[in-house]
Amino acid sequence: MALDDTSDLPDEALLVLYANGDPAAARALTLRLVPRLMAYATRMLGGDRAEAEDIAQEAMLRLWRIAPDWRSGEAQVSTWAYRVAGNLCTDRLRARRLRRPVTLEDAPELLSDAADVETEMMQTDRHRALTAALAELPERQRQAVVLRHIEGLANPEIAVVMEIGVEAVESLTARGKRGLAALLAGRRPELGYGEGD
Amino acid sequence: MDERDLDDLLHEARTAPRPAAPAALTDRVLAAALAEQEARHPARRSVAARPDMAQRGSLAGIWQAMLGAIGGGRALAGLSTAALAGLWLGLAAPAPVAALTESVWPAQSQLDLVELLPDDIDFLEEG
Repeated sequence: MALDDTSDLPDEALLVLYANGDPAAARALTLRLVPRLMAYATRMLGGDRAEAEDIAQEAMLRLWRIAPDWRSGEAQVSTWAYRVAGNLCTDRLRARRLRRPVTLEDAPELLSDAADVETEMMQTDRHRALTAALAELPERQRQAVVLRHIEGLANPEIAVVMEIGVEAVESLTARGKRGLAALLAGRRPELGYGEGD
Repeated sequence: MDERDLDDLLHEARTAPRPAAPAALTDRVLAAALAEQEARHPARRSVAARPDMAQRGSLAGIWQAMLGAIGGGRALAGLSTAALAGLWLGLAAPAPVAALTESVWPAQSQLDLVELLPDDIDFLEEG
């Protein structure tokens, strides 16, 4: 099957095609999921893209391996991948805990080309500040905020990813946002939000 | 920072263009996918999807596809042997084969010829 034919298929259909030996489905799933897992793991790991690459690669390898045994309808492929990546991030964070704190310089520059250099720099500063503030949140709060407000998952999906109830997700997200606001307090002018707004 | 600013910031992060995955990472993930697939479906893997084959050119790819379709190198060797044996039997016509042919299709066999369109039918003539 050509790549063009697979571009509109849902993830689960692609996974079934892959399990049945269709290489185009593997490529479509790779192009669809790897950037999302990379971005998620990068946020979870405080901006470490090298480790995020490892996480994305390992999560995808596990997806390829589970493909023949995938049980249709039990979970979304992306949710499953986020869960695996999240667990791998947790393992990495445990392993490196207390090694050194994450600083603003560790945060990646997430923006691509923008016409206005000044605007781009301001946005870059904001994204770096957000990444650094996220890295200071407790891990579960960070995970909930990233999945809900940056990756755009719904609360029930996050509940599956984090293996908790929806109410717990709401609680973690709310506490995480409060924590972020506190961490970024006093930086409004610096981040371009203005004093009087 | 108040809640509205934070919501704006999170919205900005959510809608910012997602950085593309590094090409090397994509290649590694895809190679792992195809390796897993190869292990499960060795005969079904498409040559066109293999980067190494694509780089070698379409002719090599077609050759590999044909080889795969007939069952690989051993099958090709068997087919070649059978083809050469057939050619030799046809050209040399050894006595046992000739006798067998004679028994099935005698050289002096009489054939009944039926004239389906006799030459002397008048109404087939023009005019």
